[in-house]
Amino acid sequence: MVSVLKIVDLHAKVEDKEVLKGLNLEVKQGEVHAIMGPNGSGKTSLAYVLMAHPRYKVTQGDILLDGQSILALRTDQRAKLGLFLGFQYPVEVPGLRFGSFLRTLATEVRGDKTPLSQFYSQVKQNLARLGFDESFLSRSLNEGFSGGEKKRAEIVQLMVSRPKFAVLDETDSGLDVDALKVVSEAINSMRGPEIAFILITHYQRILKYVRPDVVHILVDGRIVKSGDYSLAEEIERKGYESIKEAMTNA
Amino acid sequence: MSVLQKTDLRLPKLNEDDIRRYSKEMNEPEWLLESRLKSFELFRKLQPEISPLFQKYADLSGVSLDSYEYLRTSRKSSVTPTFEELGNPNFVVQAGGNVLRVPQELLEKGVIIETIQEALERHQELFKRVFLNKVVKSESDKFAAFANALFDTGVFVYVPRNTTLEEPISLVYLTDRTNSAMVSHTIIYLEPNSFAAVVEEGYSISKDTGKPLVSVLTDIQLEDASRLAFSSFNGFSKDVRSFSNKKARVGRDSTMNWTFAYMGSAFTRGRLENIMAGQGGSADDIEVLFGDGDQRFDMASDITFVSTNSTGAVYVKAALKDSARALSRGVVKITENAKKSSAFLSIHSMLLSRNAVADAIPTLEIDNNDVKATHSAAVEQIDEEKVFYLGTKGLDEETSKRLIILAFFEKAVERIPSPSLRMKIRSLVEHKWRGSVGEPPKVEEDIFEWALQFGKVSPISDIFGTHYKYRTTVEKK
Repeated sequence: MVSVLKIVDLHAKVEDKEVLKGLNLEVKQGEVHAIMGPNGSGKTSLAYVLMAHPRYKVTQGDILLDGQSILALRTDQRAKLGLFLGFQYPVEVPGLRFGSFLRTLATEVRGDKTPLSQFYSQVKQNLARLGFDESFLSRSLNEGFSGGEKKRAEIVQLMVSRPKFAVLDETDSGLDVDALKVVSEAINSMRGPEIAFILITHYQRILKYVRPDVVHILVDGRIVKSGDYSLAEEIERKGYESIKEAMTNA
Repeated sequence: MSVLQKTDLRLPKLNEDDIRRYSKEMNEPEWLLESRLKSFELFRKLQPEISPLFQKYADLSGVSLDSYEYLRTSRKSSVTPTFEELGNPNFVVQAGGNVLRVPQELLEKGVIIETIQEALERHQELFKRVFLNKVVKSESDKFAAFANALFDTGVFVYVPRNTTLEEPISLVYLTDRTNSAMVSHTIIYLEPNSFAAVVEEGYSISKDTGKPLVSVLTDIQLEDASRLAFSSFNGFSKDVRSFSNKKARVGRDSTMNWTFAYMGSAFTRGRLENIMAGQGGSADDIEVLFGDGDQRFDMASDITFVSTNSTGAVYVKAALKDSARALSRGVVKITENAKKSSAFLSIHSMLLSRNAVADAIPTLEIDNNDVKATHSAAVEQIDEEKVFYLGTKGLDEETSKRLIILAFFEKAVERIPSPSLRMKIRSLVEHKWRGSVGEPPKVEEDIFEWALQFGKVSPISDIFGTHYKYRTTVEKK
């Protein structure tokens, strides 16, 4: 059965500031959606609310996974149901080795029973694919990683976690062109009926490599326009101002 | 914390004649007796905290020194630890008793690992020279004077020029008697271009009902281009009062790496100092402590720069649960002549309960302009953002916090050159965090280490301070 993530009229607040103001979105397993929007439009808020960040409160609306509300579920429970968030600014955890963390993800989250040596040989392939040296396994999670390394490390985690819905929050920002290609190739290699991607981005450039099925424009806590890839091209040409103006005039 | 009156600390029931009697019975030379007597006088005279800056923090409540038997002429542990228990290192020295095993090839290289008594009998001239040059001065601290005056056990380690000890020397301290006092004095001397690692471990081997006292003095002298990695684990039961006074003189181009894990004891007082005596020397100190229940810690880690182009770094990390308390302080002192010194001092505490108390006092005293020195101090709780981040990957709050706590200690633990001790410390961290007894679950880091070893993922980082974070912090500054 194809899983469906459905966001209905979602309103959310952080510290009394309303950041989502009636957001609707439906994503099916196997699809790639891009959510584009200017700074402060609510892109990261959407990602955080999806994952039940403790400082964000849903005030109205619902998030449904296969028809069931997940609003009452904790962050880790949502992750175990198949939601994954790749962070815009991944958090450093000094002293937690990247390698042992990946193993924990596989065993705790997916119940992976793969023998250790086999597991690490798979992980090494994933690392190599994303341009990492094996020595990163012994390093602390994200600590001392460059901005680009942190983003690529999120993709390695994604490959180990194998979620149904991967939300990638501005994974492309801070990546140089080569790293962007590497990340895009990794995402494309994972594309398939088992996984949906929600690519949150400020720019259009990652979408040149990872072609989305649907593009949404997020402005002021709401999706104001949806379309195909040509919508992203339009934004690239005209900027977000044109959308805002169109809204104001409407 | 209360201001300690001089009279609050009950002193040992001993006088000079007792020291003379012991020294004579042990056949000690006159210079050693003189040193003991001078130290004893200082011990009686000095305040528990001699720096006026920190006197208001001195708190020795629950500690008294009067009910112990000191200067015992025979000291044999009633239980000999097996090699399995100690992780089967190449050789084991038991400070409370005899040297158990030293490989023949090391003896042939001229390495000396002996009890103080043996050293006096067999290598008195060498021992005297090293002893009279020692760096843990009785003038500097009441409890340094205490150990200098009243030690009745200890080890002399001497590593000749151009000699590398492949396996760590294991120094094990065991408290095994009610109201016993163990006062130990260890001297380590490395000749130029030599290398050694020492792992010091303290355990209680019976469930004592008294308040055992452990006082460990460690005096280290590193000649040019030598290197010592010293790891220390305090795993005593929670009725032990432990005192530690350690100091290293770091010679030209030589390196001193300290790693401490404090888990046990009711009260722990630690004093550490590195003196950067030769140009181009390097020292670092990574200390972690985990207090729960009513445990108290009073820690100081200082670095004094007297020569040029030296590097020193101190990282202290304390995690405190229940009503545990820790005072952590450090003084970086850079003298007028110590140009191009580079110093880093950081003290971070994590409070895991409302009643836990942490005080952090980093101090810089710098007398010239041509230096780089930074310090930081923070008292924090478990970071909500870290828990959320790990949560988004599917780890529940309990698991995330457990991993964060383990990670908090890992910077120190990973440097300890003993797999069994690393595992022991991790499992103790788990126990303390869960507040449980019984068999702890497997710790991810242990499994990962196993994978590194048998799954041939990649070589584990060199134990002696080549961790990238450490390297960049120390070298780039």
